[in-house]
Amino acid sequence: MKKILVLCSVFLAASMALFANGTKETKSTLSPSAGKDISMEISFITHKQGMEDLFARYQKEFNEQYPNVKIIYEPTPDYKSNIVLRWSNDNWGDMCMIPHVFLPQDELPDHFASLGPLSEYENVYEFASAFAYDGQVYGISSTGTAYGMLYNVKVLKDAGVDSLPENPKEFYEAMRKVKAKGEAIPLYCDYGAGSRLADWEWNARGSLTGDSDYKNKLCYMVEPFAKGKPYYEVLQILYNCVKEGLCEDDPATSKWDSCKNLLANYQCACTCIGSWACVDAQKLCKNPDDIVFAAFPWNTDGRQYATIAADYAYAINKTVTGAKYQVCKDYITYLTEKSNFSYDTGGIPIVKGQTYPKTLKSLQDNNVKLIIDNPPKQQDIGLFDELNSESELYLGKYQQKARIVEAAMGQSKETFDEIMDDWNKRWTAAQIKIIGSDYATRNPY
Amino acid sequence: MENNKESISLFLLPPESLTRSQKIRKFFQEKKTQKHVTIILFSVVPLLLLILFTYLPFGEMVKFSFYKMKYLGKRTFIGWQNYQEVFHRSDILKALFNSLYYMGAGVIQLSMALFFACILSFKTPLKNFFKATLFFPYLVCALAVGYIFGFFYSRGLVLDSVLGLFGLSKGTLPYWLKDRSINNWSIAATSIWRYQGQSMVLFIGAIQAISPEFFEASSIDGATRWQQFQYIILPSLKPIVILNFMLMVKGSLSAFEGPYVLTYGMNGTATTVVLMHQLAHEAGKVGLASAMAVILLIIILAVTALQNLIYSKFFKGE
Repeated sequence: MKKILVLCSVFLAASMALFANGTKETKSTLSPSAGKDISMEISFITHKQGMEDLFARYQKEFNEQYPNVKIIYEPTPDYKSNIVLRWSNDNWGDMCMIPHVFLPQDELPDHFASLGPLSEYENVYEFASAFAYDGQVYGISSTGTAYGMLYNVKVLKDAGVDSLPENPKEFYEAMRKVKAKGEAIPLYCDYGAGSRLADWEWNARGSLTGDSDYKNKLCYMVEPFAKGKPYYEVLQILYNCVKEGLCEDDPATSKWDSCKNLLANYQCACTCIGSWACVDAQKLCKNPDDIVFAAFPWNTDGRQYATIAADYAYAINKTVTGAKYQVCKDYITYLTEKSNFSYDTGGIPIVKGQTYPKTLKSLQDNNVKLIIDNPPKQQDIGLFDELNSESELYLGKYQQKARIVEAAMGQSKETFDEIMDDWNKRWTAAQIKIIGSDYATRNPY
Repeated sequence: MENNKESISLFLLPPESLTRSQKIRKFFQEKKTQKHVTIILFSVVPLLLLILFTYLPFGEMVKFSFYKMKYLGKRTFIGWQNYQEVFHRSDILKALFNSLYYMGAGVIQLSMALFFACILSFKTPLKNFFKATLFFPYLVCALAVGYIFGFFYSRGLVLDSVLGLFGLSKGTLPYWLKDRSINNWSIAATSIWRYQGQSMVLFIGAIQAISPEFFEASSIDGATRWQQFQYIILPSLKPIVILNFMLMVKGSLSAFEGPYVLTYGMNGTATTVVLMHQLAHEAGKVGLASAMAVILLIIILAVTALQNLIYSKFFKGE
């Protein structure tokens, strides 16, 4: 009996030691260069699934630099929900991906090691400021995405549309022609997939306004969802198309997989999505040139814009120090500069001056200006997220856009204007609660 | 051996004459004490796990419900505000109302389970095959269920073509997930499909525990199968019916997988837990979601207590 008690207490003590471990580690900011023959394992939590071949190639190529370093990838499903829970404890691993527009920037130092001063990256990398705080960079974007429309030009041509629509009027016309032809779905709205609906919103920022500060200004704007404002215009196109029956017959069961196949098989004319999808659809299409990514059907004085945004970013745990930190950092450098990840996935390359992939060429040809969201001013960091949370408008997410599609499908009794009114009301209430009733006069942009 | 003799003699000596250390030793050697020590030691591990993974997180959650907070970042104490908000929101009420669909489906599920359990407890051809087939859906993971039924309910696919075989044309059929008047039923039906087998297995177990002599004797007396069901099976099944019923009510109040994997809770299908997930993980209102969870727990406890009350009032006395 005594033995068991002793064993139990030993076990308890051991487990306590285990939990306590690691909290009092002294952190050295110095990063001694790691020797070539260093041997270690690095764990890497990623949202990419089914990419083992690619990871194996990276491993092989990285081993040319460090022959004895092993990168252990941990593909995680439902990444955004799971990673937050993992981060609530410091021992989540060595490296991970930070989802785009996910963490308020002032929280970056709580979880990740600094990768160096912003000034060092700014001129070399795109999106350097997307994951930076207080002059330090905490994450390097893996690639960049442009937002706009993905068309099957052959379907459009067969329906009598010869040039890609550049304003809403042309867009409706094109969609109606495709519908009249009756062989393809004009617009795949992808309501059933949930998250795809959010893609409409990105266009309301850069693509319509050409203004890099639009997201920041939104926090101080009076009724930004009123008629005539960018959000209203963009979401109205979605609403009208669904209402007019220009989208798929049963949106509730639609998914990106079906959309991809329909586009590639000439059964669908277009969908609103990020440029990353282009490569996926082209792979399935017998003539990849028919799948074209283009800017949102809008122009401001004859000029088109497209919102671009950083994708998930590579980051290192703040508890990683010393030689391991150096190896992790070198791995990020490898991924960014040598792995060709951006090019392979059809995204915007991170290293400035690198050639754009073919999928984005049409944007370049049409002289579309790419617009990236500027980071907010120091005192406004986290403000947008707070307003978003308080108002429950789910900006950047799909819930409230689903409400618009549901209304358009005739499943709720709301009209589009009523929904937008409600958005304005909620946003204003949040602005007054968080910024103060004089919010409009405080706009620093 | 020497030691043993001494320990036996401890029990023979009058208690007053024992020294302090002898008293302690005697205490530990008593059968009653030994029994308690064994029980405590054996339950330490499960209790530890229970506390670590259920009560501690629950305590944390109750704490969260008094804060305005996200998982990460700063937290502010706001007292009962979250609870007040829960009672003032129409979407939460609607979500709670949606549980009724699952309760309705639950009643069908239990009746079907009882029916199949009775049939499969007696001599039926291919008995084990049917048992396995009916139980199988319970083993399919929720994500796969979502995928399967996504196709099943798609316009013009599985369900529509099957109904087409019976002469129902596409025009007369509803959109199973798009149409708000029916989508909650469609999703609740998937939960019947999934959990019916589990309830059935519980029923079969209970029926098999009934002594076969009852059936023998009653059939000699000329009882029909229905009479056997009414007077033998049903009365002996009462506790397990109540248990299944309680599990069903709890399950319907906290239904999550079906609506989440099929529609993400869009189009008026959000149940309380889906809404909780959305508020906590998408809107970043963990405090509010925690308050909802606490209230949901209270509702479940209340319903369970009510059921117990009804049970003891109306059935126990018989």
